[in-house]
Amino acid sequence: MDSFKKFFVISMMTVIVLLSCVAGLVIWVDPFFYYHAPHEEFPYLVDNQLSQNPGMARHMQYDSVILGSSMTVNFNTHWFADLLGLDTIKLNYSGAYPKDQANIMEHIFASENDVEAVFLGIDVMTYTGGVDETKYPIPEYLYNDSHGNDVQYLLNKDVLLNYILRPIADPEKTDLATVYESWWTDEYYNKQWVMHNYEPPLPIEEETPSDAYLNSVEENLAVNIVPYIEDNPDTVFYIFFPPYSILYWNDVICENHLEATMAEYQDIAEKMLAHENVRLFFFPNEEWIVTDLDNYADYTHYHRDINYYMTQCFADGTCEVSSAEEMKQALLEMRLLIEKFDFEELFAGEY
Amino acid sequence: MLFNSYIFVFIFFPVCLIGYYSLVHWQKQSLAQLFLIAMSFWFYGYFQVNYLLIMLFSIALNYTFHRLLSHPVSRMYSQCLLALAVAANLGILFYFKYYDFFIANINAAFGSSFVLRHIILPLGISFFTFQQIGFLVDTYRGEVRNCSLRPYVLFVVFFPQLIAGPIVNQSEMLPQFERMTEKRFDWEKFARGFFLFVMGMFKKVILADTFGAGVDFGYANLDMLGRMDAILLIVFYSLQLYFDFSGYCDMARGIGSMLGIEIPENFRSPYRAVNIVDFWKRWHITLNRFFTRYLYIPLGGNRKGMARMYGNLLLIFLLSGLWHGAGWNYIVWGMLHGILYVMTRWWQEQQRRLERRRLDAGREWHLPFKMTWVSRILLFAYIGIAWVYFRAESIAQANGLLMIALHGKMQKLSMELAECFRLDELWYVLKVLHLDAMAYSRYILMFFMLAVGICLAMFSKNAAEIANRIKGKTVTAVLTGIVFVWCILSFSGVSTFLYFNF
Repeated sequence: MDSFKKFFVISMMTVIVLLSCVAGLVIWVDPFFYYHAPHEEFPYLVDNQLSQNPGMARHMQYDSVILGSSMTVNFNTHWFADLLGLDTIKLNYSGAYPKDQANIMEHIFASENDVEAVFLGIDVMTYTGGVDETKYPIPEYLYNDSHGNDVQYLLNKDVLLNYILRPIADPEKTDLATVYESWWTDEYYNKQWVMHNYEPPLPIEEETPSDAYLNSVEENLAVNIVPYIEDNPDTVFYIFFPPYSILYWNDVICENHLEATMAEYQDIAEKMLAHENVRLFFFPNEEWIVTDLDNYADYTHYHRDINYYMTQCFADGTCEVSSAEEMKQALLEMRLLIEKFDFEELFAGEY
Repeated sequence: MLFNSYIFVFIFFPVCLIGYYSLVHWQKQSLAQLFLIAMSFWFYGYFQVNYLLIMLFSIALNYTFHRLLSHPVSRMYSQCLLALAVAANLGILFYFKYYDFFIANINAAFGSSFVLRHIILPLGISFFTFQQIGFLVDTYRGEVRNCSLRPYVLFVVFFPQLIAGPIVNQSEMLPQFERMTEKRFDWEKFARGFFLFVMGMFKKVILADTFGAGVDFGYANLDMLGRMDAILLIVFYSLQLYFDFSGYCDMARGIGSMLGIEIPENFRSPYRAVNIVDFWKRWHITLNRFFTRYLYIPLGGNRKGMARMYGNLLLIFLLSGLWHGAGWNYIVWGMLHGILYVMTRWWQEQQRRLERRRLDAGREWHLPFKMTWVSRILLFAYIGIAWVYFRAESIAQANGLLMIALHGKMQKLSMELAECFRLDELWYVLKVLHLDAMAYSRYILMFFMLAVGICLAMFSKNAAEIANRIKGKTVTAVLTGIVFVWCILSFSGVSTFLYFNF
């Protein structure tokens, strides 16, 4: 054979053999659970919400899910088993927009799991954007059923090195009960740290009209949330408003959109309460939580103990809001809490 | 479509090779040309279909001018027609590339408030516009007449050189397009082309993109750089640009070679140049050739006295700066090259005179070896400084970086900058060698990549030279396959984001 023909043939064979091995390995291990459920014996590394959540939603077994932003990453699924008797999986997207929730719910309800409960944290500030906006660009090849673009998964250096070879070399299987947990260790949760890093926004003179957010909010709910609630009447949706610290409300006041934010809370609550399979929980007015900055690592992110308390509330009904009137009352308490809080004293301290 | 993409490697190019060689095998010359045109349209339209319309308009316009120029009525008629054709091409280029720059300067100079259009630049427009201007000038000169539409379109759109050059000349491409079916399939040419393609992809995907990550980080975080970081950043960009552009051209030439079509050389180890004149004989050779043939010589070249020659050279470098981008920083870059070029030419002229006198006196003198390396390093430093203006978003940013390089703090090298060079596959090698636990292990890969980059750019033979010397051995074939796989696996990554903010 011509030596250069041989050269090309050998090169091509090398390429085909190596690429086939890589693709075969990716399919067999399937570190993003795109093709099948995980193998019991493989030490899967789970740390990438964007890439791994859809596969987990499709191919893992569960009867309930935790959805939401970084406000939900510190939940431990064992608590849900102990307090609510549920086999829960965490599918959070930190910083998630409503469209991110819709994307993952699409996979959850298309799976073979019989979903009894969805725990969905709502961050009001993320509901004021466009209905098709996602926080980050999603890897489409992991979100659709088409196999035409699977090559991006099958022949992907990061997948091979970081999610197959690294776990083999350094086996430390991710505990799905605490997956995606925040990197802040206990020592970060203190007033000194929070205040040291907190910068209040520049004051805005013009007040945002109270109805400024309502159109976007209603559109987002109608497109990204309500269809899944309506299409799954047997699933209970535990929808909750997380308890941001009092500093969050300082931001709201400085940016002059308190009335608009209050109206947004009320509107979301009313829209959600219209559905029989929704249970609504309001935590922002829990004074003992939000005014004690030792519970926080920054102006919004709270300690896992608070997540535990919230799980207890889901189980025993504390902080539950059952009607529009109760929501108005909760927001009134929130206003009083903000009004009586001594911000001057807080900011007068040395941090 | 990019050469370094799954669709190109797994679908486009295999389809192209099979289709093209089938038609060549069946002696279907016209169909083979049409097939390559169609594939080129697919290649170009894959980016943005609207771009295709702009390119088609440009082709239709220029082909019309070509036909008109092919039948000269009088010299005056041809001159006017050529002037009109060149003006039309430059007008299109001006609209897409320079309109906003021009308006922004008008607004700044006269305090006016003309609205900027933020026009998106169609890919490759500078390349296919210049290529067609060259074609029209050649038509005017009588070097090409009555070219059929098919080879003309293929000359403009031939996908390997369409997006980023080389800027080819009709005299080297049209004869090849006319003789596609005459040549027999040549395994040697094909294998060498494949090797060159893989080498080019390695330069682009593994080297240039890694240096690019460091450069992007550095330019986005100038405030936190120390003096050594800034100096490294300047070197990194010099290497990134070289590996990126020359890697692309190697891939283009490799693809051409696999199709049996010779594409001219565009880079010849430019960082081994000993002076700026030498550099421009090695860097973007076809652009330099274009300017020489279609601007420098018509302006009088060196035939009208030294002063005129230096003026012509400065003008060419000014235009070269503008061709590369619409911004004052590109003009500064062009002029930095132009000034050194003129000074070097002047110096060379003086040397030539001295040489003549020495020869007359029976004494011969050559630049000692060590001096060659000193001049190489000095030139590399000068070109690196000029590249700062090329890469920066503004002259102020470029000046800022240069000031840090001169007067910045002497501090520990930025760990974040070093992290940009952490290729996982190499990091695992460090782990296996237990080098990862060393105090400065994070810097090892950065300096390793730097050493590899400098060795390849300044000491080693270039990819084309290596491709011409391979002997088809099994080891080389397996290594080529492994490098190709390494590149393919690097096309895609897993996006990671910081998850702790709203």
